[in-house]
Amino acid sequence: MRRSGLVAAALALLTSFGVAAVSLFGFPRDMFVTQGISTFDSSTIVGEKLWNETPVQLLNTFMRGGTLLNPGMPGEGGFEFGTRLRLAYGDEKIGFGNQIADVRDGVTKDVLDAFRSNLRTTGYESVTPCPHDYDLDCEVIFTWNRDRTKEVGIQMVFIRLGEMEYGVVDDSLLGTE
Amino acid sequence: MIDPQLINLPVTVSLGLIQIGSFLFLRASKNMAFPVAVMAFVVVASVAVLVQLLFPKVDATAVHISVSALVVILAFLYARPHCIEAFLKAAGAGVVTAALFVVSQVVTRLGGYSSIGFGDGQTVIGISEGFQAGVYDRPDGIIGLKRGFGLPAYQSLGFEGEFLVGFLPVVFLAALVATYVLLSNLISNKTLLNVLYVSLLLILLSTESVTRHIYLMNTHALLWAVFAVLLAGLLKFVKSEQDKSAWVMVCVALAAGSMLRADNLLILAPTLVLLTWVARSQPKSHRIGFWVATFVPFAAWATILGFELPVLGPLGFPVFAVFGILVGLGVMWLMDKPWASDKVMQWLAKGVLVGTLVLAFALSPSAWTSIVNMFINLFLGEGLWGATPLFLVLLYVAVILFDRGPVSQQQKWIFALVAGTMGAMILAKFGDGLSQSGTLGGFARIGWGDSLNRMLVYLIPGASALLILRAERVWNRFDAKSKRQVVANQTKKRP
Repeated sequence: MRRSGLVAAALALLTSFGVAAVSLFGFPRDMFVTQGISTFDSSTIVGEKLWNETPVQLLNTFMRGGTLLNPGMPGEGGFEFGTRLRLAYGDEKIGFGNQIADVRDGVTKDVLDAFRSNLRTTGYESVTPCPHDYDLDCEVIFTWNRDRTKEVGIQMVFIRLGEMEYGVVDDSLLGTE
Repeated sequence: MIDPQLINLPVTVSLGLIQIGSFLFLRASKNMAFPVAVMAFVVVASVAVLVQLLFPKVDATAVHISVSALVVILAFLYARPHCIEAFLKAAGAGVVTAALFVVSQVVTRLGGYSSIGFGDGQTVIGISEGFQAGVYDRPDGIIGLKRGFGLPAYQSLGFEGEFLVGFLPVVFLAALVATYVLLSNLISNKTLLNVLYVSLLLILLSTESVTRHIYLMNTHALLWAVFAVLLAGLLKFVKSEQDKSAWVMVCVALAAGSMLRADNLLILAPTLVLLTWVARSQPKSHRIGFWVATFVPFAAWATILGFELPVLGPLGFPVFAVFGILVGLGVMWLMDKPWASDKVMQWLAKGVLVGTLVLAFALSPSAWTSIVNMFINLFLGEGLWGATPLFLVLLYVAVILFDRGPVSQQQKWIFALVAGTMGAMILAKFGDGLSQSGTLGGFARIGWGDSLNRMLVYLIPGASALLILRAERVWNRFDAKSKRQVVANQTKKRP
């Protein structure tokens, strides 16, 4: 009896390890905590948006009525999370056909730096596998014009900002730069 | 090396003191003393901040420590007959809890761990910063009720300009402990309990939707603990145990829930009615105490909102509290009628879920979309639940197939509470949609941030209790069969 008890306990634990492994490696994961925060000052956290969140969850929360341009196909220069957004947006609202637009082309370094800095001021930053090489981690800045949060039909554009930097921004921010 | 000055000593001492008080008060339910202490801490902190807002010269931290010390004195007087040994153990519990909080503060600061970005959380720390300065930017109307009070209030006990660093993981730990204690009250086989709990823990801690609550600036983890305590109390009352500890812990849990947010009144309502019924063997004053603990804390903080109820004006919320207590008396009167029975009460609770869903499909064109969204969140990963819901559903079906025996009373009550709470949560989510222009007219949307998706952690105690009770029965059947086999083999071997 003791032996069967031990076998049952081992089975229970092994099963939970299995379920845990499937959850960790077989299902979408984003992040569970903001790490390495430099201060716990409330104003600074709010002002500088020190708490992180992934673009997928931000899009799901704030941009439900929008369309997504150029996330690209995963594995072909697109974001790994791109296909996850299909569930919320449907294929018709995602422009999978186009590659992520590289905004570095045709602008001076100063203009690009100013643009990046502007996006960082209002944006949420997160780390995700790079669209151009999934073995590397890239930074994604997600931001939008807050007046447009509830706007139906807002277009979010996926852009490349640097070697290891990408952005997901609403088209009004892109148009004014 | 961390600067010792970064340990919030006054608040740590307060928590330790409240833990001592909780341990002494809950003589017959000592295992619940830690989760209940965390809840009592939130209630006391909320009261302290409320006092500071009403009397700006008063310091909230000083009030908090004073009230915590008072709790210890009262608990000491209460536990006097068993004094020395009980007090030493309680002091030990206080030291352990305070030490846990210190460790949490140090780890949190060293790792720079904090909440994931979420709009509500940022609003909360904004409000708590105002509380520190004695300023309440009285939010108007339903927004004020939705934001609540307890969370920004206790978070405002942090250092100047900061929220209360390291307290949220303590709350999360309290939820895990409360769930363990609840389960330990249900099954007698401790080995089985520990194996199943460790398995459950592995699964929960690998589920991102759960682990996000370790640091999330929100009330969910505390409500998870609240539901574990309420369910443990409810099951004690079902057994007609004359245990004052159960009454104390249930009242503290209800008060904590009520202090946090207005919609908790709705979410707690089915549990409140079930508690009032199952505690029939308790004095009438104890039963009405549940309603007082639920409505008075809410009225206290809602009164300082810049929002008045129609007709009643500034006295609106106190009158609302009195009305709530009168409803409680009315419910008790109805429960004395001959038609009232366990079965009726259980069906009423289940009816909340069925009724809400019927209402949803009748009134909301997005009801079906909401169901689909919930499915996507729970089973396709977008709610960040991983494989957990699918596994738990399959496991529950499997244990039912293994053991098709009659359902126990305990299981019926747990199921009623889970169903009633789920129904109330959906109803609350509808209210949420009505209060915000631009939100969908449904009750669930895709993504972890969906309110209902986040609130599902409230059901962890109930769901795991249902599962563990079934698992125990399957185990007992298997155990009995093995024993019979052994006896049969021994009989065969005899010459």
